[in-house]
Amino acid sequence: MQKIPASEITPEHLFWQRRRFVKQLTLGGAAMMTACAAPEATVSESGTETAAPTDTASADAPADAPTVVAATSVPDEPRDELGGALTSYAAVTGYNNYYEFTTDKEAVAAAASSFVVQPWSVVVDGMVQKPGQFALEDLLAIESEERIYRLRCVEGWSMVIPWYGFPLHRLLNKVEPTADAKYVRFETLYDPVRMPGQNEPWYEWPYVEGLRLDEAMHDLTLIATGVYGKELPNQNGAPLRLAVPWKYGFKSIKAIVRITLTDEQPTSLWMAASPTEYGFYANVNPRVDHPRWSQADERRIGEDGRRRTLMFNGYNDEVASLYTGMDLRKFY
Amino acid sequence: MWLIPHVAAWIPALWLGWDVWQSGWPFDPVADFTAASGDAALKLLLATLAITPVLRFGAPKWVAGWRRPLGVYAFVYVCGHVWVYAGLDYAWDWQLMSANLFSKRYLIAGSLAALLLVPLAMTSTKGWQQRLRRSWKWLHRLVYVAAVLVILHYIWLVKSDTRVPYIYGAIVVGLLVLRFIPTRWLPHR
Repeated sequence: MQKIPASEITPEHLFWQRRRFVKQLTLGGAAMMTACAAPEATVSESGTETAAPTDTASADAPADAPTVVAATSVPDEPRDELGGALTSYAAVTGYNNYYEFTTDKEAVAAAASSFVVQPWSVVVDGMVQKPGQFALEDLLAIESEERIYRLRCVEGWSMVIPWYGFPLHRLLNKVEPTADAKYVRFETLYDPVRMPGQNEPWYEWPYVEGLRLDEAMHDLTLIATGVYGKELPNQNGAPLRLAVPWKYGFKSIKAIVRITLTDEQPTSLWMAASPTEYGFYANVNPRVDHPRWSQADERRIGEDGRRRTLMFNGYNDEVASLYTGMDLRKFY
Repeated sequence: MWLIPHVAAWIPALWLGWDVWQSGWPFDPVADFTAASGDAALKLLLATLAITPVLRFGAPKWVAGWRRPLGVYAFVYVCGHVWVYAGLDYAWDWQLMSANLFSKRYLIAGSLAALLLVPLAMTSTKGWQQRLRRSWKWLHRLVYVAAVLVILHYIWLVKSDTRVPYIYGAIVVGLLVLRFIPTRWLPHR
């Protein structure tokens, strides 16, 4: 297996220490912000968008860096910016939707255990000035950081995951997308021998996903190469995957081998499998149900009962402006 | 012989218990228990529907005595299934539940099927059979309606791969057809 250079792996004790340090920094930052009387980033249950029948997004929220506000309750326990506890490492690495190996969520880890991720490279091509093939080592050398993100599956469960990686825009800026590029298309490895689930004829392999260019360039959009301060396990999409926290989990494609800048909206595997149910945008939205199930609530893995689903999975302030004036019911 | 349906009905519960013992508590117990109880209920329901066809094809008469326990056990698993959904999953939050129960077709089908089984379970005893006589037979034909509703419930809730629920559907249709095959076509008793 391709190893992350030792310099990149955060030793576990430093992992927890670093979080306290970041917490202190952001507490200071937050204090400065409140001193400047900046409007509070409230995330109400129904989101801040207008309640029109066409379900449009808010026009106000700025589309810049995620609001990293430290939780104040338990100082040493890591949490997301809304105060949600991290999902256990066991659950994050033991409960996976990865049909390339098996549809049994708790069997993916074992099924993927012999998957070899070396050698690995990612082709970045299409409407770019500088197309290229990036070896895994080169990608791992891109300036990376820890990001604690929520992941909301379309099935109705969710997790809080401490990813390690770099925002996609750092890679895309290297290849310089042309003015014609409107979308980014991602592709997973296609190898039915190493990924036996790809022999399953029910789905159109390989797994494909896509983002609009502005979504791809958003700072929240992460290429994750590690989790919980360790190398990304096979079952989580090693050696690199996408993490788009404001969209349903199936958008966060795993084991990426190709990234293409294009002017045509990509058709993802799930769009092809069920076009009336799985759309291109797949934004987490409690007011736009799946045709057959509700999306208004979710089950946080590790917790009892259900919690109400938040608009854009709680990232409304960061991303709502991407969809101003857009009918989110029509563009699901 | 009379023990067989009772033993068979306990297998799904024991299997689940053994699985938890071996692999540990699941990461999403609600999802697993909902699926396990629903699956057990469906299999037992199919078993009750299979009794008449099996008898028509020459099974010994005492097999008929299996139908009641199998049916009651199916109902018990249905109760468990509903309890996991309403009690464990939704923690009896009627506001959250009612938002879906009357609008999502898989829940409408499932709820109707479960409700239909209630009078059937309640009148499953010999006492009620004697009291209702011919009405009892009509009442218990509702199990066919329940079976179809259950299949629809299953088809409408799966993520994308509808193969397994359609196979169960084919089994239900097959079992219903077998009851109506003319007697002279049956193997000689």
